[in-house]
Amino acid sequence: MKLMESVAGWAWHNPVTLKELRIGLRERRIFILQLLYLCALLFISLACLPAMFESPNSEQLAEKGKEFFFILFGLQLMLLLVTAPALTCGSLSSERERHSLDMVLASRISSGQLVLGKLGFAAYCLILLLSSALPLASICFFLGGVTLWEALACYFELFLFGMLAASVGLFSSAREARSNYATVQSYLLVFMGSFMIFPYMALRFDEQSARTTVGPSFWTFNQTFELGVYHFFVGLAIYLIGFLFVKARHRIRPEARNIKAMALLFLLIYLFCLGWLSLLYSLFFTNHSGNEADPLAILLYSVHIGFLGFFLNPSNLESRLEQSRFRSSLFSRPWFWLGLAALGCLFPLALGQACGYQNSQTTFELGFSLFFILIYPLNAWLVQKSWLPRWQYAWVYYLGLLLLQFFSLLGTFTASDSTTGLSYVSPFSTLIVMASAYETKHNEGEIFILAVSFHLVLLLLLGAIYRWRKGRRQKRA
Amino acid sequence: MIICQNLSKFYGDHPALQNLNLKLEAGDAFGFIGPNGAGKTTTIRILATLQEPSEGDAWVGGFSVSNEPDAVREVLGYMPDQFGLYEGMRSWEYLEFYAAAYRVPRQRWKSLIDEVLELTDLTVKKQSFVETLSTGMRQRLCLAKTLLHDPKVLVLDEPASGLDPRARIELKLLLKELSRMGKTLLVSSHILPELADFCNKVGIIEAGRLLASGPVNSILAQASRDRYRLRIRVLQRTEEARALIERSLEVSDLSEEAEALVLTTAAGLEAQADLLDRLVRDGFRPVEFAQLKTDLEQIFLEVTQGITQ
Ligand SMILES: Nc1ncnc2c1ncn2[C@@H]1O[C@H](COP(=O)(O)OP(=O)(O)OP(=O)(O)O)[C@@H](O)[C@H]1O
Ligand SMILES: [Mg+2]
Repeated sequence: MKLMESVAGWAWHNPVTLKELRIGLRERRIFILQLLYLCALLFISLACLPAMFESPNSEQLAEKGKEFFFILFGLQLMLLLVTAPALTCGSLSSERERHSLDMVLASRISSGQLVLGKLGFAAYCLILLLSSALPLASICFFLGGVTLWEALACYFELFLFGMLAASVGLFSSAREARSNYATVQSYLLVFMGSFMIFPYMALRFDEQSARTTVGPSFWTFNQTFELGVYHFFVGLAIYLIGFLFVKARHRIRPEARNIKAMALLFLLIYLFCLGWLSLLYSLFFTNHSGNEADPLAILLYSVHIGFLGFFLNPSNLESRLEQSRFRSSLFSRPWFWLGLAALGCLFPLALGQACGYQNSQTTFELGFSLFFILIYPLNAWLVQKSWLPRWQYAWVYYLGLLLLQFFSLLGTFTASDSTTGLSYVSPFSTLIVMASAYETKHNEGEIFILAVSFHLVLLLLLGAIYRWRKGRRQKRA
Repeated sequence: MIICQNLSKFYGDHPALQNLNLKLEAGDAFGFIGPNGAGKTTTIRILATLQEPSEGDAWVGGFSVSNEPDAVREVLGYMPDQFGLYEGMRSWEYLEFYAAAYRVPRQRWKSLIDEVLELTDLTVKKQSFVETLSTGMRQRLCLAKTLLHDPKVLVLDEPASGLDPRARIELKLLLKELSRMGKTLLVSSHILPELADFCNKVGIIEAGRLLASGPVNSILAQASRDRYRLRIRVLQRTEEARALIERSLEVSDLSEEAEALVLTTAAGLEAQADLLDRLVRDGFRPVEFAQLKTDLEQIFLEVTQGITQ
C-alpha cells in the first residue's frame, strides 16, 4: 500500500508537473509549437492526399493508405525531434539562472522526482501534440492497409522517441548552467542522434517491390520469434531515456542513491538478458548448424561486458553516504561478482550442451572468447590503476569499447568469415575473426600478445587524452 | 536544535569554512554576522542539505545533514539570499506547489495557505501573479512558503537585503513573532543592528572562521570591558572643549558626529565625572554627556579587525 502511494506520488501527484503545466499552458510557447506542428502536417498531407484518392480499386487504395501512414509517421517523427527538446531544454537551467532551483532542492522533492516532473510535463505536451494530429492519421483507416495494432505500435514508438528527445533536452539543461548553452547542446545531440532515423525507418518499414509494408511492431511476434532491428531501437530508446534520467538526476544533486536497489535492478536486467539471449541461442541451434561460435561470443560478450564494467566501477559513488552504503553491501564483495560471472559463463555453455552442441573446434573458440571477455576489463583496470584517478574508470571503459567498434568499421579487421557478419558489434568477435584469419600464419601465442597489446595501446591512448584534458582544464583555472 | 561539529568546506584548496563549531538550543534566535565572503551562505547551504561538508558534520533537529538529508529537509525551513519566484503563477499556486513539495496533507493546504498569507500580511495578494509583487512582498511570500510545513528550525540567509527601512522593521517584527512561537532561528546578515533586536545569540564569522559566538549580553560585556564610549555635546567653544577632553582623558578614537563628539576611552568613572565638572565650571554649557552602549556593529568591527591586521 505504501509502495502504491509512493509510486502515485512520483507519477501522478508530482507537484513539479502541475507547476510546469500551470506555467507552461499560460505561456504562448506550447500553443505556437502545436500550431506549427499541425500546420506542417496539414501542409504535407494536402500535398500528397489528392494523388492517393485517384487509385481505382480497394487493394491499391490500401497500399496508398500504408504509404500515407508511412509518410505521416516519418514526418511526425522528425517534427517531434525538433519540438520535444524545446519543451525541456530550458527547464532546469533556467531555474538555476533564476535561483529558484535551490529552494526546490531544499524541499522534500527529490532530484529524481524533479526530473521526472519535468519529463511528465514533456509527456503531457507530447500526448497533446500526437493526439491533436490523430484526426489526420485516421484517414489511413479510411484508406485501409494499416491495422489498429500497427498504428498503436507506431504511436507508441513516436511517443517513445519524442520522450527520448525530451530527455536529451532535460539532460543538457541539467548539465549546463546557462539556458542557451543547454539549448544548443541538446539540439546538437538530437541532430547527431537523428541520423539513426534513416536505418530505423528503412528497417521499420520495408519497401519490397515498391510496396510499403509496415514491419512487425514491438509486440507482434507471432509463431516465429523474430529478432528485428526495431526491437533494438525501441529497447535502445527505453534504455537511453533511463540513462539520461539517471544522469540528469545526478547532475542536479549528487544524491545518495539506493545502492542495493540499483544493484538488484542490475542483477534482474542481467538475468533477463542472460535468459533472453540464451533463449535466442537455443532457437538458433534448432534452425542452424555449423560454426556457431560467433553468436555465442556475442551473447556472452554483451551480457558480461556491461556487468564487468559495473563490477570494476563502483558507479561514481560521489557522496560519502553512498560510498559507505556501498561498502557495507554485498555488492562490494568481489566473490559475489566472480560467482555471478561464473554463473553467467556456465549458463550458456550448459544450455549449449543441453542442445547437443559438440564441436571441438568451436569449443576451443568458445574458451578463447571467454578468455577475451576478461581481457578487456582487466586491461582497463590495470591502466586505470596506474594512470587514472579513482572514479575515471567508467568513461575510459565505455569509450574504449566504443572506439573498438570503429576499428572493424574502418576495415582494420575484416569480418569476411564471420557467419553472422556482426563482428562490428563486439570487439571480441572482432578478435576471434582476427584470430581465425591469423591462425593459418601465426600461432596462438602471437595472437594473444597482439590482442593484449592492442587493448593496452588503446587504453594508454585514452589515459593520455584524459591527462591532456585535465592539464588543459587546470591551466584554464 | 542545530549542532555543527568541525564543519569545513573547501573549494579546491580554498577554505570557505574551517572548523565551525556551533550549538543552538530549541527556541534560540541566532544572528550570524560576517563580512562579504565570510562563509555565511556556505554554512547555511550545508545546513539546508544543498552542499556536502568536506569535513565534519552538522545536525539539525537531531538529524545528520550528510546521513539523513531528507529528515533534515522536513524540519528545516530555508530561505536563500537570492531567489526567484515562478513567473506565471499566482501567489496561492506558488504556495500550493511548496505545500505539495513538503508533502503537507492535501486537505490542509487551503487553511494553511490562508494562515501563512495572513501571518506575512499578503492576504490581499493571494490571487496576484508573483511577477506583479514588489521586492518586499516577494521576500514575504518566500518567507511564507518557508513556513508552510511548520518547520522547527528556520534558516534565513540575509532576509532583509533589498528592503526599505519600513519593510525591514516589519520583517523584524515578523521574525520576533516567529521566535516567540518557539521556532529556532538562524539569520545571517551583514547589517548588524537589524539582528540585535531579536537575537539572543550571535556568532561572528570571518574568512571561514567563527571568531566569537555566544549570548548577546555576554559578548557585549566581553567587548565593553574597561572601555567606555562617550557622546559629549557642548553648546559653546567646541574646539576648545575638544582640546580639553583630549588633555584630561586618554582618548582612543575621537570623531565628530552631528555637532557632538564621540569617543572611546579607558578612563574610569571618576575621571569622567571630573571632566563633566570642568566642562560645566568653565562655561562650555554641555547639553549631552552620555555613555553609549557598545552595539553589535562595534563588536563586529573590533573582532574582525584583529584578523585583518
Ligand atoms: N561555488 C563556489 N566555488 C568556489 N568558491 C566559492 C563558491 N561559493 C563560495 N565560494 C567562496 O567561499 C567563500 C565564502 O562564500 P560565502 O558565499 O559563504 O560568503 P558569505 O558570507 O555568504 O558572503 P556574502 O555576505 O557576500 O553573501 C568565498 O570566499 C567565496 O569566494
Ligand atoms: Mg551570502
